[in-house]
Parts: sequence; structure tokens; C-alpha cells
Amino acid sequence: MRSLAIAATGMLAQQTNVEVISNNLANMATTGYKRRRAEFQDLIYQNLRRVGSQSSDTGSLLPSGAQVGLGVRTAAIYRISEQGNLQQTENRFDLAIRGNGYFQIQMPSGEIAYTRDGTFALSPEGVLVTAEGFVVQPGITIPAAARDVTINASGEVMARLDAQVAPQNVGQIQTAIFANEGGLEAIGDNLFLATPGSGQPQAAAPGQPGHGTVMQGFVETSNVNTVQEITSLITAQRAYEMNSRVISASDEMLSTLTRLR
Amino acid sequence: MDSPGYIVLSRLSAQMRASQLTANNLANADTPGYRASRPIFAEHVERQGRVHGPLGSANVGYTWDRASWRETQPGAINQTGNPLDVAISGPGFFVVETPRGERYTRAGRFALGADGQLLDQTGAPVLNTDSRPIALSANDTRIEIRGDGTIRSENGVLGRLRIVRFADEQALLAEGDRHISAGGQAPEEVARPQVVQGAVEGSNVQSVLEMTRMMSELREFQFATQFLEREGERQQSAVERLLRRRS
Repeated sequence: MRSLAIAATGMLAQQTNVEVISNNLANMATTGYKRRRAEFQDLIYQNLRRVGSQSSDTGSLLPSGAQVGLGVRTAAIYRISEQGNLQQTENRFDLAIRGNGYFQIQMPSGEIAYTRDGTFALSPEGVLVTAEGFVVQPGITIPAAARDVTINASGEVMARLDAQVAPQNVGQIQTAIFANEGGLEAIGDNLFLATPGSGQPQAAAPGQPGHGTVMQGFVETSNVNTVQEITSLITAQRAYEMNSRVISASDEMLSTLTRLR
Repeated sequence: MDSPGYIVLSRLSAQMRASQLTANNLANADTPGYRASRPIFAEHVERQGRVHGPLGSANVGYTWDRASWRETQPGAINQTGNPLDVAISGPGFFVVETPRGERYTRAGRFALGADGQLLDQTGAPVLNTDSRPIALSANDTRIEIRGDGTIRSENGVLGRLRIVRFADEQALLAEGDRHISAGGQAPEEVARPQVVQGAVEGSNVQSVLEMTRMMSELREFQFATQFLEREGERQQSAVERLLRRRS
């Protein structure tokens, strides 16, 4: 009874769908989170009769074959990298990227990770670090004597030191872009790693061609649209139920067969 | 003598496949570009043995599970906001290059590969009107796909999506992975395609319709098995009566 197995693949696919949606809803308030979407594709087909084969007695070509598809499978779980909303925080080290690009973070392991989460702060040594204390690359040290720090759209960090009138450039924030953002691997904590699928990172100052600009005093919220997620959740649940009805219908067909005397 | 049994058997196995197609349609209700398939049943007329009389009365009709038929009306076009998602609102298919040769798809959910090539979901390059893969560079950030399939960025025109159609859409073979093979037909270029950027065409499965079809298939199957059961009883009572007469 193929329809039992086919409907089971449908139920599995919808279950994945619900899992992805619930993860989006759970991360509704996560800074820099990008919503994900499950995508499906049809499984292989069995050809009961091939197109173009000859129908026996007359020798005429069959106009169409008889195929049975064997269900559905999850093709991919996409990340939709649409810009999230910008939220003003008044914290002078909070940064948001408008447009393309990721901040580069030095992990304790030495690897470079990438993030859109710009909730930065200063370490005891005055180095710009993430909420977890990882250093933002390239390292920027704010002098202890700095009274006022401004970070402009192209990522230049300007500090006004005591006893000086003109602000002094103390560093340059760089953002990295990728040929295929979808190929980045999420490792949790709002961090991503480059993979062969994403291509090599291309780091440059914000505002350079292809790179977005930086906004000081803002963070990027998630791009989860609650109304949309709830609607997809309801649709996924109904689709799940329909597939389970197919299972019970196929089961009834089998049971009428077994009741035959 | 036993033709009713075999006639019902032909009906049951055909009904079985109909339910498989319906199950597959429902399972793929969320698959981009999927086309619902339906069975085509035909009557297969056979002459009954040892029946004499008028010509028409000597025939019995079996159900013949003849072919699958693909529904061709377009699916709903859903906005996704992804600039590399393209839906075809008119006729035609995108062309992708797979290791098995050119394949065709309506699922315009494309992405960039690591080297900037435009790829479909399985990693197969999407072809342009010169049948070559379409490549974007890292400097192309504002990607615009026009209604006729022309891809532009701030650096100028990057190519045009090849969109083809086929004389006989029913002869196309679905291969899974959202790919369709030509089944021996030569593709014809669509001169004026209509594509929509930032949207993906869903499947054309109407779940409610599919659900009611499933229920009616179930009932028809039960009806046929009931017929088979009654036929069995009839034969049994005939045998019993014959045996009683003899004793």
C-alpha cells in the first residue's frame, strides 16, 4: 500500500515545517535573528508505463505514461536574510548594519565568526567586544581618556579625548560580505561560520560597494513576522491533518480488503 | 464464469493507484512548482467466452489503468521577498543543467553558489538564453529581474533566463527533486515570457478537492469490495444449491 508510505512522507515534511516555524517564533525577540523556512520537493517517481511506449495491439504511441510519485521530502531549510527592524537603544556601542554584511568576531578558538548582532560593549581593557566577550575584528581599543565615542556610517570610530578639541580616529570597523549568504553555517549565539558553500568572506569598510552602512545606537531585531508565522503554522497543521486522513483512508481500504471472505 | 471477479479486481487495482496519486498530491501540497496528477482509466472491452447472442451482449468491460495526467493550471504565486526567487506567471519552464542533461522546472527558488552562479535547489545551474550558466559577481548587490527574464544589477545586464515550453505537456516526465525531463520532445523557446521577481509559484494542488477525492475513492473501493463479497456469496450459494440437488 504505497499511499500509506506517501502520506507518511507528507506528515514528516509538515512536522519539519512546524519545527522550523516554532524555532522562528521562539527567536522572535533575538537580536539579528533571520527567519528560516522549510522547503519541499517531490520524491522520485515510479514509471508504471513509460511515455512513448507502444500500446500493444494498435502500435500507436501512448500519449502519456502512468507515473506514481512516492511522496515528498524536505529540500532545504532556508534562511531569509531580509533586513530586520532597527531598534534604538541609546547605547553608544550598539551597532546595526543597514544592508549587506556581517561583523567579524574572533572566537576563543581562533576562528572568525560572523554576526549581525551588534550589541557590543567594552572589555576591561577598553577593547570592543560582543556580549559574550569575544573581540570584534579588527580589534578596536578605546582609550580610557575618551569622553565621547562616535561611530559613523562607514565604520570609523572617533573618540574625543580629554583636553582635545578635534575627535581622533581610533579604529575602523569592517564588515564581511559573502557571495552566498545562505551558505553560512549557524552555530548558535547569533554567530555564523563561513563554509565552502558561502564562498570566501570579502571584508571592507561599511559603505563600500556591496557593503551596508553602520548605525550607532541601534540594534537589528529579528526579521520574524509573527502574523505570517502564525498563518503558516495553521496551514502546516491543516496539511499535517490532511495527510493523516489519507493514512486512515488507506487503512480503511486495507481493512475492507482483509474483511473480504 | 468468473468474469465478475476479474472485472472487480481490475477496478480495485485501478482504484488503488488512484489513491496513491491522491496521496502524493496531498503530500506535495507545499512543494513549489508541483503539478497535481490524475489517473486516466479507460474501458477495456473483451469478448466473453461461450456466449452466443447479439454482438453487444457478449462483451465485458474491464477497467484499464491507462495513464497519468498532469494538471497544468498554474499554482498560486506567493511573495517571498527574496530577490532571487522567480515565478513564471505564463506558460513555460526554467531550464537547469543537471548531470543527466537539461531538465526543466517551474520552481523558481534560486540561490547563489559559492562562485556566484545562479543555482536551483538541487545545485543545478540555471541556464540563460545561450544555454550557459548565469553568474553574478560579488559587486552585483541590487539584482533586478525584469518581466521578460532579463537579469540586471547596478553593473548592467547579466543575462536573460531561458524559458521554454513544450508542444505536449502531458508527455513530460516528472523525475522528482522538482525536475521534469522532456520525454524526447524538443523544447521551444518562449518569446515573451512573463516572470515575477521575489515570488515563488506554489503547487497547484487544491487540498480540499484532493481530500474529498480521497474520501470518494475510499467509498468506491469499499463499494467494489462489497460487490466482490456479494459475488462470492452468490457463487457459494450456487455451489451449495447444486450440491443439494445432486444429493
